[in-house]
Amino acid sequence: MTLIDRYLNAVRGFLPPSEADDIIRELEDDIRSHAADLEEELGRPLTAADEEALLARFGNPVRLAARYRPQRHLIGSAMFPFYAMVLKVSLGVALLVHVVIAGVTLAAGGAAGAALAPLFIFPFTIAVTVFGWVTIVFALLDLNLDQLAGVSAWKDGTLPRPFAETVQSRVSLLCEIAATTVALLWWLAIPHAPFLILGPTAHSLQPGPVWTEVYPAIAFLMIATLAGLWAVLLHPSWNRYRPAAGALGNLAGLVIAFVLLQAYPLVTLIDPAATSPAMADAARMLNGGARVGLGVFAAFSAWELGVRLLRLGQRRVALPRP
Amino acid sequence: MVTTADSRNRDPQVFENLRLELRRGCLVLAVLAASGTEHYGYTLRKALANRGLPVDEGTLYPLLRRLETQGLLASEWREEDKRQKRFYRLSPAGRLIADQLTAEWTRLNASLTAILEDACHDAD
Repeated sequence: MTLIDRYLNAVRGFLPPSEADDIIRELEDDIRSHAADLEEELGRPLTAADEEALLARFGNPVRLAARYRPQRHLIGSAMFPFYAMVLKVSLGVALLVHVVIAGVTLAAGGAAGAALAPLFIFPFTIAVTVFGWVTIVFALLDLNLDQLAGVSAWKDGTLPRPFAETVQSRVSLLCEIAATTVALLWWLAIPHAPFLILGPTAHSLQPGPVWTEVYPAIAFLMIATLAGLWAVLLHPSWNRYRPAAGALGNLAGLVIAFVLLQAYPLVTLIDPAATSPAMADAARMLNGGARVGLGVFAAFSAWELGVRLLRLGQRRVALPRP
Repeated sequence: MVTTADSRNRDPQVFENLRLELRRGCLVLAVLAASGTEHYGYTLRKALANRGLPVDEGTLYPLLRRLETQGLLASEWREEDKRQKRFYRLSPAGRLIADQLTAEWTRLNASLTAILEDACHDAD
């Protein structure tokens, strides 16, 4: 088999199967015509080096074959900057959570190996999972970008009706949808993979009894938030209801935070008899840290609720009288 | 801040990329116009090269297939010089598009000539 035959075989391997025979016939004719002209010019048969130089002009077989295929992308240029941003934030948050868990475990006297191992394998475990889910969500959004982002409507000259509230851009909404979807998927995966929230302590700790009531409530809140975002995306005029919906969400968050703050403990030992004192200390620190976090969350939710109610009240006052 | 040396090093690649972009825009019209006479790939490429428009080996054939898929070219396999060759010619739809593109090219050429002349006068 000559070098030219091997080159054509290599190109064939990357061509669409239904067109490969046709394309290779044409390419072979072109290459051999080139070779014949070159032989005539040189006055001798081509050497292996001559054939190699000739084929180099056609380029890498993979690249050559790629030119016969339509250009495709998983996430297009319009969506990519937002995908990159959500991916960075998601990976950063996931890493931060694991760093905090590792820090708490180490501070409680846990074994350094057990505390730090998840950080070393983070790129191959959690990072890959986050990358995969964010990519899948954005790939699905990109498939329907024209309809979702109103690109066709823009080309047709029909623009959404303006309304009083500040309009959140559609692409920004898509990013919020993507982030909420990833968060919901993570929340739904926790019962099957407790390490997603408890990290390396998952073999010794378990959620407290209060979570049997609170877990579905939080899941419902996230699903409702996601449904609301989709509703606003498909019906932009419904954006006027977002402040009120946001206030309800703050209220629900406050109730959940109150229930969790009243409950103790939030995490418990799976087998107290078989658990080391260090792990018991880690559990106490996690419970303490979680209560502090809940307190901060409740304070922020209360503040945000107050601001939203104030703005809603001001909007009622500012509406023009008929 | 970009130094003069950096600008000089970057310029050849910048120029080459923009040159390819400029040529890419002309290639479809050149191929359609040249396909008014029946050619197979190799002779079409030589015809374009002889007119000062050399085309990359890996560029012409995918372009010919795309234009054929769009219905602008028609092709058939025939034997010539004891080898099977695929001959391309302009289809009726391709002839119409070629005429429209030629008119568009003439307009663009006139506009660009005027813009460049203005630019030369401003430079003077």
